[in-house]
Amino acid sequence: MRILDPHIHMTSRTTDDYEAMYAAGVRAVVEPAFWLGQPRTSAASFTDYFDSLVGWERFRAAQFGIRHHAAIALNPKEANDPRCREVLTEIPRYLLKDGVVAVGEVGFDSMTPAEDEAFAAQLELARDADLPVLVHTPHRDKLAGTRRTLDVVRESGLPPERVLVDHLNETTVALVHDAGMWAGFSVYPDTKMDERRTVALLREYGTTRMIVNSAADWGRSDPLKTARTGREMLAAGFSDDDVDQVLWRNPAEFYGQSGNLVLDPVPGFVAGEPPAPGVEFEGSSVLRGVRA
Amino acid sequence: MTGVPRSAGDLALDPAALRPLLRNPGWFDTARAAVAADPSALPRAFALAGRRAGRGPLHPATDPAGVVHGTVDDAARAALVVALATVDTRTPHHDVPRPGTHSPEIAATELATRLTTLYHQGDTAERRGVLRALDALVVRGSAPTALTGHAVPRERTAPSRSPRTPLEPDVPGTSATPASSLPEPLATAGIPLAEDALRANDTSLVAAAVGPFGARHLDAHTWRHAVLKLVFLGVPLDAVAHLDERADAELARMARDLAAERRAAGRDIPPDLTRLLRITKE
Repeated sequence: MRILDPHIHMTSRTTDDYEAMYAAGVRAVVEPAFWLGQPRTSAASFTDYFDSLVGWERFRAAQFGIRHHAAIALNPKEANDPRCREVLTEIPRYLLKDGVVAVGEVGFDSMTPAEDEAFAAQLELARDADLPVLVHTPHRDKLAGTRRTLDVVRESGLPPERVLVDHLNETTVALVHDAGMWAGFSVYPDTKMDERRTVALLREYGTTRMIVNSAADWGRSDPLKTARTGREMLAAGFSDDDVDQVLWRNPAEFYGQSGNLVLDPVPGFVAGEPPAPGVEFEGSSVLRGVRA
Repeated sequence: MTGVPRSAGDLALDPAALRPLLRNPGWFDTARAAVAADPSALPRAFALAGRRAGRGPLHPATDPAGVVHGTVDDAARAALVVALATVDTRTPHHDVPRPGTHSPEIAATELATRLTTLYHQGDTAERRGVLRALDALVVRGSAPTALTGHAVPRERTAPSRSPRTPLEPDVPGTSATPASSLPEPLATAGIPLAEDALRANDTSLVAAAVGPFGARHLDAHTWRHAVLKLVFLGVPLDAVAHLDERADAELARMARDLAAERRAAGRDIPPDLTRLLRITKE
């Protein structure tokens, strides 16, 4: 089983997670920018975070054989803080960076005018940068929030196939599916979706434009939920090819629209020996040491 | 120099040799021309270099991750900077003279400012590109007339260092400089960038900071710690330019102490540490 987790916050996870993810078949991830639990107080705090998403975190993932990509955005929650909104002027230069495969997470949290404005502005940045968009849907008042989300996306003029609407459930999947956008499901231990309900929706709606992620972060979550959903699909009678489509080819096709997705194996990585102390390649040692 | 693999900084000075290694050589030609015509084209070209030029190692057989000698995009980015440096500083009468650019010194200052911004706004690969570009400018050696300025002395004073820590005096033999020095504005701008890279834990950044620029411009204390850090990180010391010329008794002492520490812990002595233990300079 090969897996591209299309939404996971690795900054909040440990190296044990990276090892377990590789063992479960995860070979690539996309880490969207979001809030850190503790509110930020300035644009500079965001740029350090963005630098880390395209820098240190990518390096860390590579030590475990996993290709790391990022989506960059001002998240909806912090769009409400004027001190943070200033980061919008910094975002275009990040959208040019290697490995930045989307604008995201954008969307609504509390559906305020400030969120509305930041959302629309960033859809425009996505259009200018020719990037797809990862859209978060709100936890509270989800159905109304999802409707509103689709309206804003339509107003932006972005083609529906460039938009992935995430955190969907039984009540919101039809809206997104019918709009021709990609439908994302975050499989969590006790909130959002679980494996069985996700598989039931795959039965009902098919495997086209359907995407599964763990959305693992600093909250109670599980970076192996993608693999567990794949196993649940197999147990329910889906084929290996169906699983490959949902867990690998679908997210690869969506983010591949950026022209910035790299999915070939990490050079120099030797499976089973992360972070590979003592690796030798034709007598020359590479990336072999401890962290100084 | 025969037998020494050409690093990204070296290849940046030889576009004809670099071109066949690139995924899209046409892009390379266009980008260099664009940067030479308009320096503001540099940031975008820098960001796109990995996708257009490729990201493979320059010496796949011995350096499969491109950490030691650099990658194809490292060399391409450095070549873009060389293209800009050549225009900014070698053409005394730029067809559209910008205010204040008549003095050669200011041209070097402008280049220094651009490199600093590129580094701070760059991702890891772009930062490597800046460091490898500094290497290329040092290797180019006979700096263009407009780039001739006052070289910064190799050993800086370090006011923040505790007065109780006895400073090892630098070997005064700077006449045997391992590489030519850059004009003062470029050296002054480049040193903090190299120091920033040396604080990183990304092995490719640390390795890119110990090339010819680091060999010529980092002070002795910083340079020795950089070499030792590579041993800790497990990056082959082939990454260090002019290692044998710059290695001194103090580095040998640090290596001996590290070896003693590792023996006491029951750990191996890596071959690169053994190499440092062989330093016999006084």
